Amino acid sequence: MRRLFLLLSMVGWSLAACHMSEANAPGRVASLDDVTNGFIEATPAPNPTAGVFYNDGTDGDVRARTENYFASDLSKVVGFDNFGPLDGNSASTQPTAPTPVERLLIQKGEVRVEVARPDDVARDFQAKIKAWGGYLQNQVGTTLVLRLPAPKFDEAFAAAKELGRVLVESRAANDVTEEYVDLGLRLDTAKKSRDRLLEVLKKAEKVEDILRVEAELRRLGEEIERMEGRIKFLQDQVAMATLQVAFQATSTPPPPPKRSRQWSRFGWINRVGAEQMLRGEF
Amino acid sequence: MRSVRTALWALLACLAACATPPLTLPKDFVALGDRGDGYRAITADDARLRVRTLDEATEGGIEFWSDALANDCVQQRGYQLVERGEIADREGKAGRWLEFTANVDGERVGLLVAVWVRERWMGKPCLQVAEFAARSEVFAARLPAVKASLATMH
Repeated sequence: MRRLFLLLSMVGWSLAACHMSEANAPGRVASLDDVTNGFIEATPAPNPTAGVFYNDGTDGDVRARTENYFASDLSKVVGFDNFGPLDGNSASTQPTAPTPVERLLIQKGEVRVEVARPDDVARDFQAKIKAWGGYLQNQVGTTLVLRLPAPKFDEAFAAAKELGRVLVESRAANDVTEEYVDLGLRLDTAKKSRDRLLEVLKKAEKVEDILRVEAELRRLGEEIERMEGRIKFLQDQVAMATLQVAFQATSTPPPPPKRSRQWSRFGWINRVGAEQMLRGEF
Repeated sequence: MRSVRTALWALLACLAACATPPLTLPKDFVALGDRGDGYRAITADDARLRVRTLDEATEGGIEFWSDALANDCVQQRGYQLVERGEIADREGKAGRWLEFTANVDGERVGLLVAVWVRERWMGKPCLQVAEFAARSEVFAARLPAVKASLATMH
């Protein structure tokens, strides 16, 4: 009786195992809908966190992919080498508290300054930005649009304000962390779908199927290019801040000299000055 | 007789040296000569340049004198100090320049003053002062050439 029970149990386990592996059996060709909808993983890597839900409501699998994406791609962003959202235990099955993430910020600023010699000041400021690793993006008169490494943004903003009387100043930081991560995940999925479609294309025999797959590949290719372009744009915007500085000539003359002027006790100084040079015959 | 002739030659040499312009004039400037109040030059748009040697009994280095001038111009006359810096003359002697904007009769003007402390006879110091002044727009346009010219001072 006991032997019969053991035998039945083994048969039952074998059947269950066969059923589970059927979907990924080497001989099975995935349908086009399966592939394009991304329902089937080509070679699903064992992920111990899959199916585990975290306190923040994210699925363990999604979370692991998100963090892997950060680890692989985000560190390439200039100026964000110390970006470290990953904890070493992300593969752990134990739910962990969300790690604080350094934000990806696009920094922009505008300064309008009144100076005595706008041309000279603009030229000197541009040289300073160049020395900091920045460059001139656009110039109209003495209004400069400058791009500079994000870590230097605060210093440049303060330096611009010190050049004269500040008329206008504003700055903003746009957080693009969520968009960047989302794009990364969507790009990852799209690339996997494209790989699977290529596999399907190899095995497709009917002309109709081939055409359908090729059309889908074209669509995916365009989508991938669009997403890669957007990611590059975001990386550039985060790495290089934008600073618009307008240098404006001082419109009003300085106040006239005080009526109760005290003469200098040094005689030669009293003989020097704009009034002595410009009033009367020279 | 021979010593008198030597003395006369020396005197002529001195006079010739005195008549030599103290700097190479910037483009567009015309020398007006020296009427006893310094070497003067002017442009058609009324930019004015003057170089003088002024006596000052008080001992003081170049830093002291440039600070004294800046303080007086800013605090007593209401000038705005735009920029200041060092300049070397033809022989490499270090001086200081100061650039101001000022209000002269309601008009905005620019003023550049360059100062050197020179040794005179018997070791007594004096100040060589170059001034350049003009209306604001003219001043800005001519400033680079004038600064270059000041480096030829002697």
